[in-house]
Amino acid sequence: MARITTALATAAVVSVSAVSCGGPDDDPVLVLAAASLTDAFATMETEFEAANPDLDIEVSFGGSSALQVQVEEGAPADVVAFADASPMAALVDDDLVDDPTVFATNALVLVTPADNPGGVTSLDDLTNPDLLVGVCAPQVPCGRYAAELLDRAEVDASLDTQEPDVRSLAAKIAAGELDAGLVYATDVDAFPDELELIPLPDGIAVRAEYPIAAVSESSRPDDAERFLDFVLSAEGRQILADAGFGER
Amino acid sequence: MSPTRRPPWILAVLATIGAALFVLPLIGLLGVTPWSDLTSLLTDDVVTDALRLSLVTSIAAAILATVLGVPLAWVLSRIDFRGRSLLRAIVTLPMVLPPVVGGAALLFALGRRGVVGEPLADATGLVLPFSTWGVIIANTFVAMPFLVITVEGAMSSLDGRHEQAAASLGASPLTVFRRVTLPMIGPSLRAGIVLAWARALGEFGATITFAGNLQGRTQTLPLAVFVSLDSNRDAAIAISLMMVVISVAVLVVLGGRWWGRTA
Amino acid sequence: MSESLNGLTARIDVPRSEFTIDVDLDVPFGSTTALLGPNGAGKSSILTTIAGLADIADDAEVRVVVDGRVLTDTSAGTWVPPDQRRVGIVFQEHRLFDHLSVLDNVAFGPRSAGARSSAARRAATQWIDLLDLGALVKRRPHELSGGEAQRVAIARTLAAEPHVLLLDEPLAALDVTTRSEIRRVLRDQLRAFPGPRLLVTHDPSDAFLLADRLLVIESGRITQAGTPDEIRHSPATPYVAALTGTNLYVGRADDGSVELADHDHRFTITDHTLAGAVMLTVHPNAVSLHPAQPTGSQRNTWAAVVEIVEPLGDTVRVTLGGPVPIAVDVTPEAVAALGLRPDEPVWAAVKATEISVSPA
Repeated sequence: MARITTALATAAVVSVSAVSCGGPDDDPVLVLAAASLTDAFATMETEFEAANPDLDIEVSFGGSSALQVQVEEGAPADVVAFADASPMAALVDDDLVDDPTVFATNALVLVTPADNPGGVTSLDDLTNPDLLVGVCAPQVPCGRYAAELLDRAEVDASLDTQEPDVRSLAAKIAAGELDAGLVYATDVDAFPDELELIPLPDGIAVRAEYPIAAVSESSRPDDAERFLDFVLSAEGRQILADAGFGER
Repeated sequence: MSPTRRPPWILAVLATIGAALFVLPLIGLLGVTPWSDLTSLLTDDVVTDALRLSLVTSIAAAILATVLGVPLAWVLSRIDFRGRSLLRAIVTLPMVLPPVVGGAALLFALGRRGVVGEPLADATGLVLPFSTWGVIIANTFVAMPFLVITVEGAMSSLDGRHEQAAASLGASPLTVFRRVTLPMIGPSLRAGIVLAWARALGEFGATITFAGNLQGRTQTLPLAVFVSLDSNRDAAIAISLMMVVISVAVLVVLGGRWWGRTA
Repeated sequence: MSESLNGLTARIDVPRSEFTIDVDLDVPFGSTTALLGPNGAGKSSILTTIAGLADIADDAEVRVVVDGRVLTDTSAGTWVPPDQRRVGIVFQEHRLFDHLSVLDNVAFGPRSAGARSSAARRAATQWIDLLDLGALVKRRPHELSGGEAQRVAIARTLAAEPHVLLLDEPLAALDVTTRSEIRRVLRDQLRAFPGPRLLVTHDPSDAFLLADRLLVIESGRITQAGTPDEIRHSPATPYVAALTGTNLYVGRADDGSVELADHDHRFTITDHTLAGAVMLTVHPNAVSLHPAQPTGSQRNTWAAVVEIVEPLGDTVRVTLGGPVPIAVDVTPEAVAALGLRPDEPVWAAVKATEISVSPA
């Protein structure tokens, strides 16, 4: 319950800054990362700093579109990692980042509260107006994926909420306030005891690709490159896999 | 012009800085407003749905806050009971609590699995979260303290002499409340209602947490602004501007006189 | 205490921090009793206790009965709420409702008794007419003069048709000329009111002019009771004496004169045998006033300054300041002839035979 409370309470906070140690001489390397990477990149920061005592990393989390705007407005970021290709594509078009790489994938999954009180067995149950069904708002990546998935499955879902934040959606399903919803596979790892996965038929699942790139205007391209390499290394991939992300 | 009308320079400087704090963001908003697209942005059905819902829920919340808050203020100011200070502190809690936390707390109390919400849903089938009623409850939760504080202050400053006179004329306690206490605090009551309404109109955090976000049912103007802010900033600005216009219009039309000023 | 079936009886024993209010009141049907005493003597508390408006402390003993109906009895735990007592009260500060017109203020009692708005206004109109308020019905209380407001307040209380009428310093907030006008209004209305009337005042002229009976209260206790004449002619305490105008002094007698203790003055008296501490009284009628120093048999003459001139029924009460403060009753003709006005000099004279002295 405490975990759900925390997730709900921070749901509307657009940007959450991770712990910053404050390097003795240099400013830390600033990484902007999608909200769904919160757990994975917090671990990533710790492990990277342990392996590179001379470098200080600071990760700032937020919605991918909001982070895109921050970079466009000239935020002094060194690395960006998004939950969706389109904000990265926009930055590439403006020559603001160099050669993005897909470093992880995430799958959109159908979940219910642990005891499945709505008796949901398939995507078709989402059309039942008596059930409380939630997805993400169409303005954020997980909402776009949800629309794509429901479209592909030809399901006209009877929606009750379109949450602007996937974590708060997952928390509301975990709390039993919603009967079903479409969240990331990584969110199921965040609420292992409270969420129940409903298998989707083959060919329906939508795969989210997470691109990462160094910012062109970075004042320290070498340090940015070192962090990128770490994320793409075997150790980095293990951290992502532990958090529930798929192979690229 | 009386000499007291000219403020000491230090007050004038501080007041100017204070006013600038309000005026500058408004100028910023006006500066980035996409004037040429304004009509098409504001006639989008997402915006018209949000506008209708915002007006309905904020007015309903102001009414609910008045119907429940005035008796609560009366009890707090007139009845001496154990735990009165504690109750007063709890009533003001939504003013200090982050609204998102308030929304989560409402969910745990009135949600489908909530302490009160579960028996309520079992008995009546009424589920508050993700409904328009949920928006109204969330709005009332954050807005009512403003009304209670204002009205309780006014009631406490009445010394009770007119209420005594009314009682000696044969007025029952309810009649005294209705025909003497309420009219005597009229200006404060109206100020409290306006404050509560304005707070409800701008309410975001508790609403999105407790009632979710669905166009036409729970997506009020502030929620529409929030979900548009990253993806369609022009729409977000246009909606924000509309909220400014609505609240300024309402406050100006009601006039200072309506809420206790002689202007 | 006997409790008449017609009238108000109250037994009030309320400990307060400074003193205990301990009084027995018996106001018969159709009579006016004045409760006269200095500010802070507990008069208003007695009224609010009778009206059921005061909180009653745990250690208080109160019993209030009107026409045989027990309104308060602490020993039996009886307490009738104020709105069901039919005890009307006129306050010093009128306490009119500023959000209501004069008409609706007067109609408030009938409305509260359950009358419809139109019927309540009809009932109010009778009292409006009786108190000559017809020209004011549409005004708001803040648009009224002090005297007008108090007349409306009297009408409002009477329109509620109370069984008992209480008046708490109803004239104290008014200026001198308005006071005598409202005093006349009150005298008429008190006479017309059928039930018991209890008037609280610190002003003896109100008490003497409006009441059939006086109770003098000092520090929570009744120190003298009687008709106005009885009290005027034989005051029981210095307070009553000062209040009613009988001038009372203390001093030391020695060989036919008394040196006052509190004032720089010596009175000549007839008794040459008295010596030591004495109490000395001079009736206001015994003092004569003159434009210049009088000659003749008067043994006590002194130059004084007029402080206050106020009408008191058929006579005029003149209060003189130093060297010895003294109240003098004269005729209105004498006031005119002598040109008595505040701050004007005048000579006062008292025959030694008119001064009564007794050992203190």
